[in-house]
Amino acid sequence: MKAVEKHYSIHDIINFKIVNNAGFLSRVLPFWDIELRDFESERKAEPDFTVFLGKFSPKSADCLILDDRFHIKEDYLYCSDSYKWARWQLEMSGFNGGNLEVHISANPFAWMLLPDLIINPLIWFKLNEKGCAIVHGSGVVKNDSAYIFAGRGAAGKTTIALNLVERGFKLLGDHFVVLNNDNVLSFLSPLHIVGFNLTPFVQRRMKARQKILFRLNQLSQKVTGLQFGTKISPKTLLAGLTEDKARLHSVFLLLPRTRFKVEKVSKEEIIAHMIPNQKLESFPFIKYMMEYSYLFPRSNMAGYWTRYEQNLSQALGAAQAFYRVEVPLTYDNETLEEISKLASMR
Amino acid sequence: MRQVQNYNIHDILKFQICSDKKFGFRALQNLRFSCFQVEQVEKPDIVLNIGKFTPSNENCYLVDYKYYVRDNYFYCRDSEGKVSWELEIKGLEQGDIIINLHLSKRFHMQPVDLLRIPLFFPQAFLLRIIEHKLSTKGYFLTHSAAVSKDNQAYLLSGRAGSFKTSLCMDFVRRGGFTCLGDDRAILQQDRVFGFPVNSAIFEFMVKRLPDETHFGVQKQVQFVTGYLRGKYGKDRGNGAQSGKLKAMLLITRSNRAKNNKQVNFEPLPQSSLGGIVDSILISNRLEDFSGMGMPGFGISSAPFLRYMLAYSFVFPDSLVATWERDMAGKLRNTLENIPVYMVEIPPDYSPDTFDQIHQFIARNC
Repeated sequence: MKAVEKHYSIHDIINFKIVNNAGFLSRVLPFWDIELRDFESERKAEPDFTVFLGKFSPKSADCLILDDRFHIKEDYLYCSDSYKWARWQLEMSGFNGGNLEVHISANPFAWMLLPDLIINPLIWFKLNEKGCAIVHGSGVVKNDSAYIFAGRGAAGKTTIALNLVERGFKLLGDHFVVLNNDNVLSFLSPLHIVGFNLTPFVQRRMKARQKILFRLNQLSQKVTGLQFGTKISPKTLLAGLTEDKARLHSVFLLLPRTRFKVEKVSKEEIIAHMIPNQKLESFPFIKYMMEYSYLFPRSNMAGYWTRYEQNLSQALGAAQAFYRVEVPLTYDNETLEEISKLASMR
Repeated sequence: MRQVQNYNIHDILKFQICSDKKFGFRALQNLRFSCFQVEQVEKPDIVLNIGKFTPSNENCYLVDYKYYVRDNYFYCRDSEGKVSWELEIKGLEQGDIIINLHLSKRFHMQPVDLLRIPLFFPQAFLLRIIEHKLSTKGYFLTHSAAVSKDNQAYLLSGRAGSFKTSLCMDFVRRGGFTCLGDDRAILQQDRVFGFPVNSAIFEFMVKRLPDETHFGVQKQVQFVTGYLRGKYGKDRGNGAQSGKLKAMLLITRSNRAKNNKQVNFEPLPQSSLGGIVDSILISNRLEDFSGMGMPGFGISSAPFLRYMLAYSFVFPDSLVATWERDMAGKLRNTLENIPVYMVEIPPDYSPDTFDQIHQFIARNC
């Protein structure tokens, strides 16, 4: 089968290309790239990195071997890896600043996770090189002022974002946003709609097909106990209610505990929370970075987290306020009202 | 019936393993730390309780739907591969550490797993907690092998598969060295304290095998039967030893054609000291990915590293979040006057590899 080539672009800061050689899998699992679809671009810009999907033969001669399976030399890494039932092989070269090429061969379980496992971290890696910083959090805009709600899972990032959109804000991203100098850029990956963040507002806008899919996911969640989010593109669901960029106004760090409590904190303190937040989000890619850094501790790759801290520090310099917000484990109207008030303060 | 086993590491750290069930192979349960076992300890720094418990996880921060974090406290239920567990740690930052661990059965466990997992899995967590507790006392549990002769110690650092164990075996058999540990050692300033993990297995290997790659199923059975009859692991003296650090070798296996048989030595200049320290610390964290119990448990996502990151996310100023930075400074001071070499060895182990390293040490250190 002929390889399928697709171009993607994130605010024209990062352009990348995916060359899909794995014909069979992409026919069987046509929705694997749902996380990336909204970034597809017609323009064929010079890519910052290229991902080749499908079987490949690694060029792993002349390498140092770590942990019996990582083949590493200057500017090159090859390994086979697995997580639960997912198995994949990965070859990366050119991450020291040259032409970054990545080959991935994966089994169907890993295929479904490819954007999360490898492609997203590659985007972050390139953003980082260009002085931007990815933030694990949701973001909304009003009057060209952006508000970021950073936090781990269970913190209510999506819930807050969707509720604020209902109150007249526009969405920048419900899972990630990008910091670029004084601006917050959108990162509109699909919304993960689950039982607890489905508001009537969203439900009204969902198409019949999406509603059925959502019910099916709810059902399989009851049977298996695993959480299945229904992925819906924000560009269609919230048409006209999204924004590309805005100036950073304030950052909220969400910590779910018992009841609502707000505290103003310093920029340094917020950054100290944000780094482990992003590290936890980077599994298992962080392992490849560590394996390479073990052998080349002064490389571009090893400097990733130091650079991340610098980029954050620079970008957050423009913010007017930082808040550490303790929220209850389940959101009530009162909490949402309080947060909405905080985000409306000038 | 409650069963308690006591351990003392060089009087630096004392710990206790308590289990509420009597295991069939009591002798195997302390295999990992057997050379530190003592009759009695006063005021243990760490107590590991294995068995069902009721968590006291109220008023906690919830991270990622499953980690419960509070000042000095961590709790979660987790599962991966063949193992499913519930873990509670009290005293992460101050006071004595109490770990409660409960393992539950999973549907795809084989009979041999029912034996192996309770024996080896809790010790893997314990090892990581020992590293943490030692660091709060100013000691560094490094992922390196250590050998010594005439009170002079050499650290052989390397990732899994760099034949640390095979080299140690030959250092003992053919070089007349003492092995302070084939996988870990404790470092404080320029003092190296032995930390032999699974020392009985190492003793068996030294006596019966040419190198570590020969430790297959048949030999494992041979070892277990021998161990249960008390043939190995009786000598607990080597755990108590220490030496003065003379040199450190960072060993990596390589498949470069040019050094098919040749071992390559490259002295690392003082200017790269910062990088060396980073590598040593990264090596410890990489162990969180690969060192969880045994291969075959199917755990590769570094659960403990994730737990500590979750704790650091809530408390970024805590010891858990900052100890690595402090340790980097200490390691820098230690290694300032110690020669460090990058050593590339051939992909397959042969006694020739040992000979070249042995000669190099004799000549240069």
